[in-house]
Amino acid sequence: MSKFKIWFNRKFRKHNATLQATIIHADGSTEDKGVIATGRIGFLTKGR
Amino acid sequence: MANGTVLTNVGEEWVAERISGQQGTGAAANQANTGTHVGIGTGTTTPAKADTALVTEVETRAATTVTTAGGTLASAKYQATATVAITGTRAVTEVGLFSAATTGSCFVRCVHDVLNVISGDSIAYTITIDPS
Repeated sequence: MSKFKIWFNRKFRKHNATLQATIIHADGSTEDKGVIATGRIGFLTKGR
Repeated sequence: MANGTVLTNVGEEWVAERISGQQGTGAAANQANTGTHVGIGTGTTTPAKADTALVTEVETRAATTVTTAGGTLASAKYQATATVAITGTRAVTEVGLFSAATTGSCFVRCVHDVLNVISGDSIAYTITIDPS
């Protein structure tokens, strides 16, 4: 795979695994952290 | 350390087993498992396909609520939500989706920026897998 294709895939391919988090503090207040990690699963994209 | 979310090798087998309804050649039979628990840790090692556990797991794993979220057809996603109770001062950096309350298979491992929490706090997580 060319360096361009590797760069292109890293930059533009969809992140299809995400982790969102919200901290719920002991006083009942909440702190929404939004999406804190993403990744590419790719299990249905192999061979493309 | 690099942040990220990885469907582990065991996780890939899990997906195949869930779709086929048949156990693969791995040791664990996960074809009926929905990803029942979320665990957290303080490890910072970059997530990798070969991961089978969290690096430094802390706290008791929380049971998940699993749904097919996001609508129909191409919008449908696997989604697991869980709220992990915190019992001490922690700098949480990793999360795992597991097949059991203890040990079990680690289907997904995530590493993220530090979430600083103290006893009495809890963290509500949503793990989404979009097979697109």
